[in-house]
Amino acid sequence: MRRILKAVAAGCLLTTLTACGKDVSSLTVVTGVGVDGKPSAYEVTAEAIQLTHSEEESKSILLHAGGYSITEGLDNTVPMTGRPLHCDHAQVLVIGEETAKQGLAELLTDVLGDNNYPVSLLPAVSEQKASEIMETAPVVGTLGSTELEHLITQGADLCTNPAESAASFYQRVKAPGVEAILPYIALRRNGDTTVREVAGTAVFRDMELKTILDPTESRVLMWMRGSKGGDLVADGRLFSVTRVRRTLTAEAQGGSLRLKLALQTYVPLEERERWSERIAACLEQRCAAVLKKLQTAGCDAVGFGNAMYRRSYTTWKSFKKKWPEHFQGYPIMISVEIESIREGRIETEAADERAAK
Amino acid sequence: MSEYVSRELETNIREMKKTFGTDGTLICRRIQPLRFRTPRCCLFCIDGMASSQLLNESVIRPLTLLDLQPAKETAIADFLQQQVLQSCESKQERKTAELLHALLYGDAVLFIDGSDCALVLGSKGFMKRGVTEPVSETCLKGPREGFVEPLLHNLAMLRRRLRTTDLKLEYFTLGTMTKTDCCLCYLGSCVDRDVLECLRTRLEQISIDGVIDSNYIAEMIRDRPYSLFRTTGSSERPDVVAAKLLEGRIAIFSDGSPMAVTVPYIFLEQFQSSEDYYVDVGFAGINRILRAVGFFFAVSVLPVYLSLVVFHHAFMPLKLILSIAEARQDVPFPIFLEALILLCSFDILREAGVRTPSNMGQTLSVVGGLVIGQAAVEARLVSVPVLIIVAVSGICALIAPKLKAVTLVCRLFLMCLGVNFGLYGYLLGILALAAILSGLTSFGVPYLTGLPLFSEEKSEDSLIRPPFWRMKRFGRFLSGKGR
Repeated sequence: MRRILKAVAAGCLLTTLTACGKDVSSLTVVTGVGVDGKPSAYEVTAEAIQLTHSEEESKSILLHAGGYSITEGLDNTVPMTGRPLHCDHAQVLVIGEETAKQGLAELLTDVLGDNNYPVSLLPAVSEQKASEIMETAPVVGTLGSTELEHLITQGADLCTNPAESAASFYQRVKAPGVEAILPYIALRRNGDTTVREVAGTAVFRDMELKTILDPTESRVLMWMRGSKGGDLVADGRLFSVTRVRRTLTAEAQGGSLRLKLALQTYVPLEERERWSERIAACLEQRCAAVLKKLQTAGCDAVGFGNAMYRRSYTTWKSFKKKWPEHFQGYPIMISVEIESIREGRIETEAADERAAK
Repeated sequence: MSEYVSRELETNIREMKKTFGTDGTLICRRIQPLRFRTPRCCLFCIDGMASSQLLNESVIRPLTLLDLQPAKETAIADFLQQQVLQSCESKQERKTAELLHALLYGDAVLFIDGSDCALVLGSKGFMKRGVTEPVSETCLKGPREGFVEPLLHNLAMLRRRLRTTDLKLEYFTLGTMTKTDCCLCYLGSCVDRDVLECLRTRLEQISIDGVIDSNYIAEMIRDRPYSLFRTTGSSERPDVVAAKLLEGRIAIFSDGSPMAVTVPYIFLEQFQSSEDYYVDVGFAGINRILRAVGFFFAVSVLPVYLSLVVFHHAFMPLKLILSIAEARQDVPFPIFLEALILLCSFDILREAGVRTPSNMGQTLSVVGGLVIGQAAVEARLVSVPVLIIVAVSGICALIAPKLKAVTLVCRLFLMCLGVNFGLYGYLLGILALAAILSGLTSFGVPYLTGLPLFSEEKSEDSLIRPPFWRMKRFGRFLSGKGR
């Protein structure tokens, strides 16, 4: 009987305990964060959801505050709503261009060190101040952050921009011999309204923003990094790139470096002989232009250094310290091969003979 | 009253009347043959318990019209029993306690002047319920016969299914006041002797005033009487009890109860239904798994929901978290209290539905549905997500009715842990339940026998019923030897 009484008492105690958790309705759900300013003096703009009755669609509110770090900045917004922030569902982290130029090391350490952010948080760099990007009303829906997330992921599918989570970006930065890239967002006028769009790729070196690539260049960079998808315009005609196989070579030859990029691109093609050479030439030209830009900025975003690190670690050790200078100083050989995919045709000898005739 | 029957008829009559006092149901009928002065007899029976027609035709008429006299060397009781009375059941008894017991159970007692023993004549004629379909274990396919209250009828139903001399029936009486007749049934070649001895020992130790239902016995022979998990089974279906006896189990019947108690009882039996054996193998397997999943859902859905809403917000998609937050915005109660209110309302409605007369059921469902479903949400007393979760949990609980009490308590226990410690608390609670289950035994048989992860014994008929041609032997499972 005593045991039962003890169990009942324990049950009563459990029911009356005040839980340490927070009820979801007592939180301010943050969907996106914008960061401007410089290290130790960040200006944070948070897009949060204003809860309404179920019949109405949720509206977003913007909270502005400054702080030594992002976390402190966000904490400073709490008095505005009176509710603790819930950042686990933040979708995007927009970083102003000026802030990005000063380096993301401190900022990302702050974000990734805090377990309150999701691992899928998508960072992006903005042409204007991040607060302006956050303040711009979305074209579709009510949440600007959701629209931004869609823009970035959609762009990644079309190979116009990267879409890496903060954790993945940080990992990429730590990888030897390859620089990290982030999507680049800008505001554009569209008639009477201002809209947000992904305007290319921001290329970093040692976590500092060095150069920006436009969407066309971004696509070429993405192919050079091994991504597939997107379209290529050559001689006024549109070709779909369904698959890309890249081979990077970075070898030391008597104190000098030999850098080579070989791209094998798979394109659905009807008239192979007529088009493959033209596409290859066009793509080669674009690759050269992008590589030139990257070399000028000293950003090995393609990963030649990483290829050397993987194949010959001892060689990499000798080049590691001044890799950006080495990367800038040597020409890169580019070879592009177009593999045609003839969709809907059966590969038989008879078909080849007919094609030959 | 004296311990033994007196040779003098008048003394016996006086003693009987003194014993029953003012009891108006006692019928005392003096009988003397028309042609002779002896034997003088007195018939006692209880009004409403004994069949007066039977007694008139088989006892009173032959005695009144007696035209023979017993031989000198023949005892008068023997003479009447063997040559005069036309009763199928009759026996001589000297002990008055036994006579009273028989009398109170509908038999008639015939005292004979000059004889030191009385005749007990079977004349049970009390009203009884007809055989109907069992309410607690309905099934669409298969037999629709259910046990009734009289013990002998139940045993007859069982014997009809097990026409073998191997079926052993051991009678015993329980209850110092009720003197309830009980019966232990088992198949001699299938039963585990250790389990049988253990059961006999426990039955001998029972000391109770009255046994009104078989559950009185079940509660007193259980391994852990306070445990939530029952270690004795019960059924009101003769087919189920027969099948359990074939598996090596033992059944206990008590007079006046339509439920038979079966031992040993293992956890897996809670998910089994008699219909599993009357439908296709695949369908039966799916149903059993559904019952197990239903039980798990019934116990887990609400605690997991509370954990997610209070602690692990990140596990939910943004749209879901917004939907829940919006729904809960104007609810004045903490989420635990909200869930508790709804849960209590659901269980009150369920209990009321069981107890309410059928013609009130519709009113109850309308009122319950309107009050709990619509009005409570519109009044913002509860939120829609919690309502849905409680409904899911409640419906899942109905899928395994044998675990009703377990579900009720475990769900509350896990809810407390979930709301205070999140998913860690919930998982700890599940582990604690698994530990409790692992430690339980039913008459020496581990409670989790048959579950692949918890038991070394390989059961053929566990969470999935194999086809009959693969279940070669009944009884091997529990008795460990089979036939």
